[in-house]
Amino acid sequence: MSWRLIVFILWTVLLVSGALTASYYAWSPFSDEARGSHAFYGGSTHK
Amino acid sequence: MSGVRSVSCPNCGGSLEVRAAGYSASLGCRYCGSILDVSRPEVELVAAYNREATTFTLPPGSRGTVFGTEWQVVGALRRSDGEGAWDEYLLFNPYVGYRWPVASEGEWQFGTMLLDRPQGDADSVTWRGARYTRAMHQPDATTETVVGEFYWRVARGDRARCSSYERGHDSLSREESDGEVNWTLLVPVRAREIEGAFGLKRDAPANKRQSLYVSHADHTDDLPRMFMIATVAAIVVLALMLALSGPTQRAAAIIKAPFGSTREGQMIGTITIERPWQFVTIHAQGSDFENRWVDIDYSVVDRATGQSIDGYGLVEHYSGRDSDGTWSEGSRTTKTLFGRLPRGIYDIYADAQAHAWPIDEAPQASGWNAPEVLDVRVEAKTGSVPWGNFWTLLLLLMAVPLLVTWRRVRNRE
Amino acid sequence: MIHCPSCGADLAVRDGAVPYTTCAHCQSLVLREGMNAEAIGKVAVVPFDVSPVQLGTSFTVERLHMVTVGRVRWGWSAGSWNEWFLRADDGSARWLAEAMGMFMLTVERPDILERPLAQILVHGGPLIPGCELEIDGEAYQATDVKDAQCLGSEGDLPFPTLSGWQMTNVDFRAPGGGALSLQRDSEGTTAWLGWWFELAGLAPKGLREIEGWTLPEAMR
Repeated sequence: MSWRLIVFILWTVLLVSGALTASYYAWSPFSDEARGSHAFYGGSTHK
Repeated sequence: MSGVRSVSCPNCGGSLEVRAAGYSASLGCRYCGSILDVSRPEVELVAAYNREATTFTLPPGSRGTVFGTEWQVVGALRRSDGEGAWDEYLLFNPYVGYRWPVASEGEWQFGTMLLDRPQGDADSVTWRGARYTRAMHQPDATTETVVGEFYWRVARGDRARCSSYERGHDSLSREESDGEVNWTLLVPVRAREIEGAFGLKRDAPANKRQSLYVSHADHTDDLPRMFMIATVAAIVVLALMLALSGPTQRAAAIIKAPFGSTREGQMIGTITIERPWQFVTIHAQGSDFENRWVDIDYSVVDRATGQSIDGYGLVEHYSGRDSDGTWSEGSRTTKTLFGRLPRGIYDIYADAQAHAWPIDEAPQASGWNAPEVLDVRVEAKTGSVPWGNFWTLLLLLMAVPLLVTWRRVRNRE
Repeated sequence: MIHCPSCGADLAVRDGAVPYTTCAHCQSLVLREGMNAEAIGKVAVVPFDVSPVQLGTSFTVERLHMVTVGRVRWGWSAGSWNEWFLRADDGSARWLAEAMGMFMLTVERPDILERPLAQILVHGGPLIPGCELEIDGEAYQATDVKDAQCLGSEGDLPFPTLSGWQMTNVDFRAPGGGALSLQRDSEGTTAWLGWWFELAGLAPKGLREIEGWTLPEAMR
């Protein structure tokens, strides 16, 4: 049970909670939708 | 009954003590360095020397308690190979047996002789279910100095045939002497365990150097545990990601992509997102076209707010012939991932335009045929699993133990 | 109570089942047959050692209790060692050999003598280190062959330990800690099978007290 293993466990917990939070909120750094500046104020409302 | 047998050195007359009488075979005189045979009641001179006494970190004769057992240092050897020298000590307790502390450049290992033997061949051996592999560096050890007593015959200048097998920081050492093969398990121990036990103070501060790549804390190797933790975490995340991805709903339609203009507002279908948040993947599959590309603009419109989340898809395929033969490029299918879609009902629309390659000109419509239009099948699906997330997670998890392994392999060479 | 035919002292016999006893007072070797006792020679005094075992020490292994009744000290070209003769409560005989701070406890297995490899020794032939014998699925490899001479004895023993008594000892070791010993002397060959132990593993009681050392708690 070295300190290195403890640090690794914390790192794993961090990654896992990050991954699960991302899944819950349906967030991905690889998603392709376009949001942001041009669809900001009220968004691009479709006619 | 006294535990010590007093003898005098036939060479220099110095008075010596045999502390493991009955077990000890050889004794190195601490005054003149001569080697004596003490296996029989009569002491015999084996090799005479005349040299100054050598100092060892653990002086033979000293006593100390290591790991809860009292020991006496009965013998000390200084050995060397081409590169360096190290000291091996023999600890004795008549009610427990022998132990072997070994000191090499300030690093200590504690050795115990094995009762059960490892099995294997020249490259690796198995002991108690664990595999030990042959160490890269096999010292060809020469015995330089002998002080004290040993249960086998030692002589100065002995060349030992020993081989060692490693597993993490532990090693199994195989030595042959007098035709008998003996195995010793050596585990690293903190210098202060040994030196402190025998009442010696260390000059240098305790070895606190710990890097990410070399762990001195324990003799148990944490690398397999790291891999195990990473694997378990990956499996758990995978299972939960699948569970959290949500119910799958599909809507599909075939849209038309004309040349020269965009056909807008083609409805794909309606989907309902029931979870608080969900991913939607839109998959586009083009018909069997060649040297064409189709741009598709998606709009995922929330019925409640009228707000549109936009995305883009591109299907393309090109082929031709050149000096190397035929070639083809592009993909007629494409996937667009929409994330962070909140609960609601969405209508999905697509605008599409087809283009020709290499010259983006609408093919001429002949009088009888309708102008060319490409068909693209578009399917929107909720409940997709963000694989990119998973692979990234796996990479980040495994990077640490893989890096440690790589470092270890490199160090071994 | 039998008296030593040589010096008249009480001959403390611990194990009536074996015929030879060494008189602790005059070192005569006494051969006992029923109530008759005959002195047949002198035995060398066992040299001083720091063995924790002494006559009367008992051991308990796998719930079998056994008592030390005799000792032989053997010497060979590169050293010497003790072999203690034990009588177990079930009536069987055991040998406990000491070497390098470890103990080899064995029981007689005459069936092993039927093996072809053992037969070589029985018929006076040599055995070389490295030869193998399989027993109960484990491979026993010969680790050393020693020609040994008796250097002294005490207590009750199954053979006469007069000076000059010789035997050839072949030790085998198995990977799991098993041990086999084949011993050939002028009376014949015997086979002894058992295990290697650390002293603590034998649950000893009545160990010798050695000056300068404290007996561990568990062994008192």
